[in-house]
Amino acid sequence: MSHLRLSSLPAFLLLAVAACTLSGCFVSRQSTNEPLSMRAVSGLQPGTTTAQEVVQRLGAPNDVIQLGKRSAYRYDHTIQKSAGLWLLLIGFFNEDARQDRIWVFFDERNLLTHVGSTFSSHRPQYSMPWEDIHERSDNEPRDEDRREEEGVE
Amino acid sequence: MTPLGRLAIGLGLLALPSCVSFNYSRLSLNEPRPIIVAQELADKSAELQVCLDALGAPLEIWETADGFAATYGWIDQAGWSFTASISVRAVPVRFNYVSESRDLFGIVLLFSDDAKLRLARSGYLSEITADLRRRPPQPVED
Repeated sequence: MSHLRLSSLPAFLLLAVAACTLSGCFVSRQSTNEPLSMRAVSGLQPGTTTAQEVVQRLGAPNDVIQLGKRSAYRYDHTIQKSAGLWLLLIGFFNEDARQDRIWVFFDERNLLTHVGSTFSSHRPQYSMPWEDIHERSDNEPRDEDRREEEGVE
Repeated sequence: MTPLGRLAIGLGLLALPSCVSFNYSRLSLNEPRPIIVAQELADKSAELQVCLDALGAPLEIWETADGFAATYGWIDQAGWSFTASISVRAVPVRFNYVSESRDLFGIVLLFSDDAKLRLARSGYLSEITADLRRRPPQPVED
């Protein structure tokens, strides 16, 4: 049976680097606000849906903006994925945060006039800083999975 | 080298990261929007719903003197940073250098009161929105 000999400096340094590497990596996931549903937005009808119905469907907004006699509500949900690797003196870190965001606009009678939505909270990735994380080939399968999960075309 | 020497080097290497570090980090926040599309929409004085369909939900909306503004912002930047910290006579001294900017880049759309797009600007949001942030005067009611 052979034994690792630590008498040489390179072997010792290699072991020290390996030990530091093992203890120096992390991944974390952070979620802000309640998830938003694509299906809930598709049911909103400008000219018909009222502010009260929007709140019943989406919940309390994260922000309300007064625009003269009109108003706009913002809903958002953020997912942030972080990953890091620490090699003694050099650290590599990546943070990827994306949002689902909905803006709904109402006239002075609190009737819905406009809707804008962006859904990308399912796209963040755990990755290293040199990787391209905005490629279409990364996003398309994730978009497809989400549409299937929510039953939206 | 003696075992004590090797131990000293090992401990020194382990302690060094606590006072000196080099980081290569990337921050990606939201997704870029097509600036050229925003410009085309402004040229056509597009209606708000057309802009929302083309660009998605804005990051922020606020009232301006003669309408309202909508901003789209994102960051996708990577760069090196260097941090060194030492204690000189019990006073902590810290030096930090970051190579990349962490300002949001993006688009601001200016809408008239009847929700028609009249202007699109692109650049760092802190710069292109600085003169628009003034709160409009409130009308005096009898």
